[in-house]
Amino acid sequence: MKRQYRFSGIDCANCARKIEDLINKIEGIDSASVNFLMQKITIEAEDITPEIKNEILKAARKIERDAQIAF
Amino acid sequence: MNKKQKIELYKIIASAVFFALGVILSVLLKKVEIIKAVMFFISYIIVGYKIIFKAVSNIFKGNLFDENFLMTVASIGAFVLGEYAEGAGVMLFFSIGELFQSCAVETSRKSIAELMDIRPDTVNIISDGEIIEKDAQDILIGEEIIIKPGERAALDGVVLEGQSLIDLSALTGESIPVEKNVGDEILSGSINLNGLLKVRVTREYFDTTVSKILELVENSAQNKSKSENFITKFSRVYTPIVVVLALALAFLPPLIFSQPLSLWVYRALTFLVISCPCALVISVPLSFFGAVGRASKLGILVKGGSFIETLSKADTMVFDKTGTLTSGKFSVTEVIPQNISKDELLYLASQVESASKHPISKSILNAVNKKVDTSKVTDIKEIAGKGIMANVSGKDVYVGNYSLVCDLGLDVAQNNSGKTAVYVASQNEYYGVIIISDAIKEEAKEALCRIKALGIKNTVMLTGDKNEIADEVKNKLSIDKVYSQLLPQDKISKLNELLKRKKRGSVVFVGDGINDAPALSLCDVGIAMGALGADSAIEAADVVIMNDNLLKICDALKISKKTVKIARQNIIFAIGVKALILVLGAIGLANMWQAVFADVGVAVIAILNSMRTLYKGEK
Repeated sequence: MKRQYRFSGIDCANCARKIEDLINKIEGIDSASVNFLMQKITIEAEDITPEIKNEILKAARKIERDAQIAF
Repeated sequence: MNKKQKIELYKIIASAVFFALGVILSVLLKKVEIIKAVMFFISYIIVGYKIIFKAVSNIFKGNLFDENFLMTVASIGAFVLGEYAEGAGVMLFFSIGELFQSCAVETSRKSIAELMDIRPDTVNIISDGEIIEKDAQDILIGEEIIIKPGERAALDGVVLEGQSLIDLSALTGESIPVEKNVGDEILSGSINLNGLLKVRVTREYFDTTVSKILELVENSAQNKSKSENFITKFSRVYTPIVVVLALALAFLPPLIFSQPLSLWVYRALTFLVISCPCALVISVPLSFFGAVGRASKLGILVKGGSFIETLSKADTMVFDKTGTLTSGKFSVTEVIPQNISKDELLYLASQVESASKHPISKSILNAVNKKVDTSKVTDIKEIAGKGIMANVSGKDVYVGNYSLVCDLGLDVAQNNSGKTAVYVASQNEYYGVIIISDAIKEEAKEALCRIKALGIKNTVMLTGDKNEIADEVKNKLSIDKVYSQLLPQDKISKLNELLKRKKRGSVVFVGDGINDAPALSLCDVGIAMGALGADSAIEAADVVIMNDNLLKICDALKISKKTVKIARQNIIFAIGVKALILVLGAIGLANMWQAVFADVGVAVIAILNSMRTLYKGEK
């Protein structure tokens, strides 16, 4: 399934790219893209479980402490 | 300002307070060095700790020479030399510049995102008789959704109930609303203006027209323009070179001419401050970024900065005829009556053709403005390969091609325009001829004229039509060169010829996206027109014009020229000012203050300049 979520608190294009790299490494995620311009994150995965969502948020916060994702 | 930027602002204010204290103390207590040093140091640490931290961590990551590094070295150097005020000042002003930049980038990012935020996240559905909101991503094909007046459609669908005016301007740039009734298609991104609509979803969230469009524009950042690539490469070699030069400046003159070391180290540090490439690194991509956003607001989708640049250099524009310069639909373009009025001739023909489903009949019926009275029309008969006859008010009327009037034994001159001619006659009287052709678009003449004025030297038309028709379009629109009676593969070889012959300017192909995908991808910039809903055209083209108005090409050309001009201005201005201050700094005519002001100032001006791409340029 493919899902898109809005995020906030990520304020540089470079950080967005780093977060994208991290999210792509999460197990269970087929592909992820973080769009800095639109402040949206697109996830493709078999199933987006609460655990995966948690992992995604963790990855984002590792780079940007104040990152928020509207799951 | 967001939270982070506010924190940054408070830090700058706090730092500025200590900086001011330091200045006041150094005037009041001339002898107590240590107190003012402490003040300046506190001021320095408040804004500088993060930058120093970044510089150090970047060294470990392998990014040795970035602006954080330059500023850290310069400011620490100033402190070591005992120039406390300058050390703290450099960091303070650098932080002010950074904050300004991040605000400017945020502002333009937001305005672009707003331009493109044309797809709502939620839809209304009816559940147990009540309207509830649901995530649009959860809706499947076949489900029914409600679009209230004033709302944007989130998904593509077909109207089941209701009628309303729909504003498609977000998709096409066309501001005149369209009326939609039961059975009509509603596209995501359009706004429902006045009526309540019940719509059956035909495409899921990620397959909708607007999603396809957004995906393109959102990914456009990957197609970097040459200017953007130049800046990336430039900043990669530039900083190391500057650092080496600074080292040479610091130590060579003292070694060779036994000059005082501190003087030259100070000059070298000034050199480092001014060399920061931020103005370029931020402003150039920002201008292309803004242009892509601006264009999409006008219903022109550009697949990347690189195409904006290529488009600005265009000097040959090749048009496909049918559907691009002409409407692609057959309509009555000329009525030549004999002994009766034009309206009478048309009306008579329409009465005979009233029952026919043939495209030619339809275009004649469309040309008649009033309702056709068929009560006096009887005995409609088709004459195979020739036309139709019917009894109208007691008289046999024949409508058809030239051989039909010849069969009637009438002496009529044949129309030689090469277009479809429909003759109208009775047994013994000739009424006239109706010419049906693919009409040239209304705005075509003006558009071609403006395209010429915008610097396109050659306009070329390619068509599979007969020479006579092609020449007429050529003359009406003052096109420079026309190649007619071409087979699809001939179009490609002609385009190849033009591409081979080109010298400096680029070759643009404009097509309607139907059957010309190869041409669209072959040329330097492929523009697909009227591509709303045509996914294959959107994929093949580099620039997609959502409606089929030719004047949009002029807008696209203007935006591209303006953007490239702004990017160039920024590059020349920033490199020019920096080079000047670098030289002045090296020979001791510019101090660290001037350097930091110049650096921040250039960045601010360049960013403001590049933000112009966002706001104007289409008129």
